[in-house]
Amino acid sequence: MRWRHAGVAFPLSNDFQQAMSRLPLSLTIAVCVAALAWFVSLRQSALFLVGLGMGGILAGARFGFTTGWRQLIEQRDPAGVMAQISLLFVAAAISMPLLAMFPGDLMAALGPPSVSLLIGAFVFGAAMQIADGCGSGTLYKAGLGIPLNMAILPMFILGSFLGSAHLDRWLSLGATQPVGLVNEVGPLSAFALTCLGLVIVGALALAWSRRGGERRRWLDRRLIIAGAGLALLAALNLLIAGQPWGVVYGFGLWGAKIATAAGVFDPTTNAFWSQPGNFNALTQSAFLDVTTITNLGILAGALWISARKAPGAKPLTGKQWVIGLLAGFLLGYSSRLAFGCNVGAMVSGISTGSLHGWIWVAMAFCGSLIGVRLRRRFSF
Amino acid sequence: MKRRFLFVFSALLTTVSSAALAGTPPILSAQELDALRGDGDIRIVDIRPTAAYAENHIPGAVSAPYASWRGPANNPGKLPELTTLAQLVQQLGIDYDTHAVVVSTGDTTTDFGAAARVYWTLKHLGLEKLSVLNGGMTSWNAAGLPQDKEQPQVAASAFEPRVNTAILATQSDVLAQIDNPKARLVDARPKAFFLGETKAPTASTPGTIRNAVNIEHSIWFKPNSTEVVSAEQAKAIAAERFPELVDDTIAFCNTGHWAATDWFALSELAGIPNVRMYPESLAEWTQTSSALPMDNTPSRGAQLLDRLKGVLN
Amino acid sequence: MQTRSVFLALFWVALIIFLGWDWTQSRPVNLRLEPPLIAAGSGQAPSGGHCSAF
Repeated sequence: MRWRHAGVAFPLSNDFQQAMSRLPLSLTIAVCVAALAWFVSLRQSALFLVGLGMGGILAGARFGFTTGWRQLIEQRDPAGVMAQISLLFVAAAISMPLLAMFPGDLMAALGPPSVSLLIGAFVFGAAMQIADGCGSGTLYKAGLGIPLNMAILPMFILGSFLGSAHLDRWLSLGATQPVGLVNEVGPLSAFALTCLGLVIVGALALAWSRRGGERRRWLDRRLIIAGAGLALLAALNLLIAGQPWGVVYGFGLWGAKIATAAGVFDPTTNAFWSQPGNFNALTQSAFLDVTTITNLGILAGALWISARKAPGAKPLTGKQWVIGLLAGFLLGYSSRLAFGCNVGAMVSGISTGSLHGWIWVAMAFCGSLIGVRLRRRFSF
Repeated sequence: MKRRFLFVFSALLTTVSSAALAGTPPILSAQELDALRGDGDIRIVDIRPTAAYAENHIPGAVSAPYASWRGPANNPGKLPELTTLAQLVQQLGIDYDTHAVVVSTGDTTTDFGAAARVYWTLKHLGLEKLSVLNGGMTSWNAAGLPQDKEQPQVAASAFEPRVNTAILATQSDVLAQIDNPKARLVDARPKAFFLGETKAPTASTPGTIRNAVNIEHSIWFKPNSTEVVSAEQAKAIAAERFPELVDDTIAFCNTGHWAATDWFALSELAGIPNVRMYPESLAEWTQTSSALPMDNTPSRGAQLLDRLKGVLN
Repeated sequence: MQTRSVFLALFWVALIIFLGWDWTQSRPVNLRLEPPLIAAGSGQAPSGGHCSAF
């Protein structure tokens, strides 16, 4: 609604109206930041701010990892994938030297290459296309208020929790020790190898995009800048928390807390949750958990964005709802098996030099090829 | 004539033997130690660093540096394993009939705490014939008494500890006594620590244990001296600070060092009954996973400001 | 649009209730053991739970 007065437009009043409607939300978020600092810890408050930034960028730029892959597969549009590659480049460039500089204080996202990783990443890649959201995608879309992704969140929590409870059985199928490039060959070589991998993946993506015959613009400035911003925030997460950005652990933790309180789960007899660090996380406040805080930040940041530009959402049939929710459950379960989702395994794994991140990407992409087909089959 | 002589003689004998059975004096002056050091049952334990001992020490003294009586870096007040301590005592050739004399540097009032702490440790292991050289090597040097560099050959004893728990307070003991009006928690640290204005690196927060009173360790010393006061003077000071009797007195500080001075003065000099020490003290009290009751801790706002300042520096 | 607003409200209310419930039934936060603001250079090893944990 632009007011015209004497032939001059007053766009400011429109922005003013929208800023006013955002004010209560902004104030609430500010109170949350302060409350976290006062009652929990300065660090968690800072990480909440980091999460807010991540949510703001993800939602504001609609930076969807899932969508980016789908566009490459279906429309041969590599822009999203190229933006993800540049995100990984920036994140690795900052994170790897940091890891080498502070070896005792900071840890990399080192997951074990294993049978569960292969299966989990593949299923995740498929499920994320159906659910139209990966780990970060589910969070920012739920924050934006898209009904399917909001409903998927509890399914994700259930899946993650069950996956963590079953993890030892999956690992017994076969697993090797994690491979951390920064430890093995030092930060410079690790970064060089990572760049090589990224260049190869980029070349493959471009080659695929050219098979359609037409030349496409493969650099979307908005996405590239958003990707760089996310990479900076991911590095900040590493710097502040001492561990890389993650999404899935927090969901599993919430599920485990609920299950334990309901009396249907005994953490002391479970291989994963009886470990001291995880058991501790169960009995202490969720606000002290790093991935919980960044997850909440992403939700709140996306919500704040939605106050100005709430997205439309296609209404779904009953059958589509059931499939979508099932996909959400599989997202949670498979990402636990795969030692992370697109954030924990791909972004954090690759940027901190973990081999499992690369395996994750390869398997998940194969899964997405199937997932995109299934998506079309169910008319999503 | 003969009967009177016998009467006087037996009276003298009784007084002398009763004096001997009255117990070992907790503190010895340099001259007193010099007179005793030739006795067969004396063992002088030099707790200074090995370099200082190697340079010069009281003839016949054995070396047992202070660190060997203490715990790890993040909890120095923690007692080492009982077997470790027992072995140490055996190697020093000390047993129940040995009169052990603890000798420290004696250069500061804080240093006395080291000697008091080792005294307390030996008493905790069950030994009774214990003394501290008042003023340490500083007063020995000032008196111009002889020293040498010889390492005495000491036969290991067969010492088996008989643990004296009456002088030790655990964390749960202290927690139980916080609200007990018939108990006293004594903070032996300087006032600034008690008031929460400063803290030791091993403590996670400034402040003191809930309901504690402050008896600074420095009040037990003669003016401008590193020697503690006499037993009578200690009794007078204690009576002034603690007019009422209580069932239980527990001394603590940051790591059970200054606390040892307070414990020594209250228990051994002033002769107050039921005095214990909490050896791990605030280093442990502030590091527990759930917050234990404290006084004089900074407000959350002050704590946050402090952290932010720490980050910006 | 109306159902969507209801859904949205339900989502956030459920989330807030969960977080509130968790706060009341968890161990109280020990502010004395608050970790340093920035882990890098703090000398403390990270102790949080992470997705790559097994």
